[in-house]
This record gives sequence, structure tokens and C-alpha cells, in this order.
Amino acid sequence: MFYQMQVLKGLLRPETSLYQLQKAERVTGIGLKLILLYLFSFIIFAASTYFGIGTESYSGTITDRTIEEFEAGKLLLLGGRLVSSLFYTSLFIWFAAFIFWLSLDVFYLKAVAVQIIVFAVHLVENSITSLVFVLFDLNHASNPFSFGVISQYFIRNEFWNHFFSAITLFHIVAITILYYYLKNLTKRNRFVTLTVILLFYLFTWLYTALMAYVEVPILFRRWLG
Amino acid sequence: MKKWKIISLTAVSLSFIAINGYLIGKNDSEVQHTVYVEDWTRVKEKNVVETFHTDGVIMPQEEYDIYFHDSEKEFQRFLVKEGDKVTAGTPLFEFTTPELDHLRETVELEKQQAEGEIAGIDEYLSTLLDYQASISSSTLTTESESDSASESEFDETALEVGLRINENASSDMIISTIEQEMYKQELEKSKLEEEVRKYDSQLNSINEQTSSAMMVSETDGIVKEVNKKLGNPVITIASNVLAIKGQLTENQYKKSETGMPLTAIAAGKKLEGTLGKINDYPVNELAIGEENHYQFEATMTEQPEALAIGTKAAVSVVTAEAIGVPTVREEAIHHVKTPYAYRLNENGQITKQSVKTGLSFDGIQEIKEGIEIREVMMLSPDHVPQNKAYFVTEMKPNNIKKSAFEEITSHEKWESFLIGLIEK
Repeated sequence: MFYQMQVLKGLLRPETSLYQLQKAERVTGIGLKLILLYLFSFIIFAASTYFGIGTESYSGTITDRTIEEFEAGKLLLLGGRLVSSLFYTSLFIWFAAFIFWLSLDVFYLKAVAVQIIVFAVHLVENSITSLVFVLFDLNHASNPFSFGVISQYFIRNEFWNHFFSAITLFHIVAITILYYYLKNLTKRNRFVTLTVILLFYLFTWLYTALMAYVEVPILFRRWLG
Repeated sequence: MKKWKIISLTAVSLSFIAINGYLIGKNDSEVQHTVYVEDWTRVKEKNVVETFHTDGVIMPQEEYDIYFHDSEKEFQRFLVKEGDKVTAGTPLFEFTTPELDHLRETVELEKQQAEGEIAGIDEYLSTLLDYQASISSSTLTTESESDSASESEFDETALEVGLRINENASSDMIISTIEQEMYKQELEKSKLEEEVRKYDSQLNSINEQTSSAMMVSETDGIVKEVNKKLGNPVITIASNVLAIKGQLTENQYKKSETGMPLTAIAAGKKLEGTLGKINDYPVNELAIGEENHYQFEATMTEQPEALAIGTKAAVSVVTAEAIGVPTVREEAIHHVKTPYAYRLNENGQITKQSVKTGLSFDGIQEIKEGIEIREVMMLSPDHVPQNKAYFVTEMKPNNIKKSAFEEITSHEKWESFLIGLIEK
């Protein structure tokens, strides 16, 4: 039996997809879907950087650069962001699948197929939140789909605010879908599965918070001067 | 999943988003904002020049009318045609002065007559002098010597008759009579001499009027009009000095003052000048509901060469100017009464800055206080949700230049790249 990789079906008809995935001996059609996901990720990253999302720490240079120098710097920033879109996609699909294969003993390509479905959720999230950010003058820390807004009212610490802002409704949806698939694909018990998934996401949130907290220009100044 | 589960989860999610929305949007919200700046501008040192534009025409600055009074003169012929160039001294027309000529002849005759009379008196006086001498000598010398005077015997008798001198009169008496006569004659002579002088001055003045039987031009210029019917002015000369003449609207009139600098473009040439005359009385008849226009005249600092009279000129009058002042695009300034601007600072934040504005023209605003040259101001959006909000800017691909990459150091390049790569 083959499992034909179908992202939308995997999201909208999870029962059927799961059944086919359980029975499948081989998974096909991953390549094309992967290329498309890389492409969408690339486009979404490019578009959000075009509007300036996440470039706060670069903005200050506007005062002592000419517009040409400022834009040249932004172009390099876009370059960095596009490279990071490749990392992000790769890590989320290949590395996460590797973890689940390692810890839950799921057939690797099946884990990859699940991650492709879940990654689509994250892409939808990215495009929606980017739009909301630009329209309502917000940033990642104040993502209205996250817990960051509420945490800003209670916590002064910026790192933890970034951490809570990394936890979004879309992530909960993604976790639910991931849990639904993996618990049925692994022979391990549900608790272990859920723990592995949550640990993976916890690591993601911490990493995201750290990356949002870090300001490259400040690090540069510390290291170099 | 069951339906009620989906509905309740959706409801929970939506209320969660709504709460977040409320917390973000409520007044004095503590939630960080990042403003997506679409457009910005830098404070630059510039000149703000307030001008208005109007149309004008190149015209001779002045016209000289030449009049001909035919009461004393008789017109002969014109020496110039319309369109001729004349300089000061160029003869314009010829005329004769028959009456004055006649008068001169009369005066000359009278003068000659008076001069003849003076000559007669002179002769008479010398005779009297001789006679006086002969008398005084005859009394002192011997009778025999009186023969020497016998030649003038006839004259003496004639004189004696003329002077009504008694033959028996003593020589002293005769002498005093002669002296009296001489005084009388000298008085007469001086009267006549006075008359001659009068005639001379009369002749002078007549000559002055008739000597130039040609009328000459007093200025340089071009003959604008020659009135062949000899109605006055017979000739109109337009001066070589050109000026711009045109009309001002009521608004422009209010702003205008004589002496304001202006520039004009006529036939592709740029001219500079000043507002010379402004006529305070409107051009047309005053009427309610119609805009009035006022005539103005502008003098040019340098006379343009080879510019035809009647050339249209686009005039821009400088009504106010501020030179070398900090300026910013007008859109950067909000609120007219208490103006302020949004400054983009080096920490990546937006600060609200109240400013004092000066002159504003053509989208450029002079800043007197509040912000300085080189500072960056936000143009759009025109509203910021909170003070010290972060800002990011939209990319401007049109401003990317290859040369700019050479301007920034490799350290700066890596910094930019790493911000993109690492930061979220």
C-alpha cells in the first residue's frame, strides 16, 4: 500500500489520512509537496521582511545611514531571513521527524509526512499573523493569537514575554493534530507521546524567545568592542 | 470530534483573541507596538521660498510723447518712421516758424534803429565836447587866437541856436548849459542801450525757439507711433529699457510689495528683477462679485538682449524667503495649532516631538525649533498608537544601489545579515 502525500486532506480528513498512513508501506509524493512548502515559507518570510516584521533592532541605523546604505543593509537582512526560512522549514520537517523517529519509533518517512501536514498549519499561522501585525501595528511580542499580550500585563521580563508570545492558538492546533497522528502511529503510550511532543514545542518556544530576546547589534558591540 | 466540542473550542479561541484585542487596543495599553513606517524623510537644510506665479509681457519701461504746438510753428515733415531706432539727438521732424521769423525781423529793425540813435547821440556828444573846449579856450586865450576856431564858427552858431544860448551869455553860463545838455544826452543814450539789450535778449529767445528747426529726441528708444494727422502727441518713443508688465489678482496684490525680488522666464530665458510699481487702483471698473486685477510693473536687474517686445513672461514673485533653514516635508508636521512631528530615533523608537514651524511653501516646511537637521521624521502612517513605540520600515527596492554596498563596512554587513538570520 502507498500513502499519497496530501496536505489538505491530512488537515481536513485526518481519520482517512491516518488510516491510509497506518496501512501504508511506502510514502510517495513527498518531494513535490516539500518543494511547495519550502517555496511558500520562502515567500512568506520574504513578504513579512519586506514590510519590516522583526527588523526592530535594525531600524535604529536609519539615523546615521543614507537611504541607499539603509536599504542595502535591509537587503542583506532579507538575505539572512531567506536563509533562515530554509533552516526553519528543514528543522521543523526533517529534524522534528528525526526526533519522533528516535523517541517514538515512528517510521521516519511517515513522521516526515505528519510534519508536512503540521508545517502547513504553521505556514497559515505565519501568513495570518504577518497580516495582522502590519494592519494593527503589532509585533511578535504582542501577537493577539498568543499569550504574550496577557503576559505583558503581568510580567516585566522580556524573555518570558517573548516565551509566552511564542505560544499561540495555532500551536495548540498543531500540537493537537501532531498528537492525534503520532499516538496512532507509535506503539508507545499516549503519555510518552504527548510528553515528547510538548518537550519539542517547549524547546521551540524557548528557542524562539531566545532569538527574539537577542539583539544582534548589542551582541556585536559586546563582542567587538 | 463532536459538534459541540468544535463550537465551544471556537468560542474559547475567539474570546481569547477578543480579550487580547481589548488589551492591545485599550487606552494606555502597556502592550508593545511596532509601527510599520511606510515613508519617512530627513530634516534638511534648504531654502523655503514663498512665491506666487503670474503672467506678464515684456514691454518698454517708459514711453515719451513728443508734442507739437502749431500756434507758433509750421510743420514741415517727419524725419523718422514708426519702428525706427532713435538715440538721444536724432532729429524727429522739421518745422518752420513764420511768425517768429517775422517778429525777429521787426525786433532786429527796432534794434538797428536804436543803435542808429545811439550813434547819433555819440556824434552829438563829441560835438558838444569840442564846443565846450572851444569856449573855455576862447575865454582864456587872446582874440587873435580865436581864428583858429573860426572854422567851427558855423557849427557853433548852430549849436548856440540849438541850445538857445544867448549871444550875450557869459562863457560860464554857456559851459554849464552844454554840460546840462551832455547829461541829458547821456541819459538818453543809456536808455537806448537798455533797449538794445532788451532787443538782444528778445532775439536770443526767438532764436532759441527757431534755431532748431528740427525737433530732436531726448532719449534712446524706438519710434512707437507717428501721428500723421499731427494730432498730439505727434510722436511716441518707447524707451529701450524693458520692463515686465502684468496683472495681479486680489490675493497676489495683498501679498505684494514694491521691491520684492522676482524671476521671470521669457522665451526660454531666465530674467531677474524686482517688483517696481504696483498700481493701487484696479484695472477694470469696480464691480461687485468680480475679482479685481491690479497692474504691476517689474524692472529687470539686467537688460535682456534681443527680447522682442510683447514676449510673454512667466513671472514668479518671491513674497517671503528663509535661507538655509532646517526644513521637512509638510506631511511630517501634524496639527496646525500645536504642531508636532514623529521622530525616528537611533534606538528604533518613535518619539513625538513638538516643533515650532516657520515659513511653509510648496510642501516644504521651515522648522524653527524642536528638530534638527539630519534627524529622521515619519511621514506615514500619520498616527502612532503609543509614544516610544518601536518602528520598522517598509523596504524601498528603488533605493537599492550597488555603490551603497561599498559604503557600508563588512561588520555592518554581517550585522544586518545576522539580524535577518537569527532574530525573530
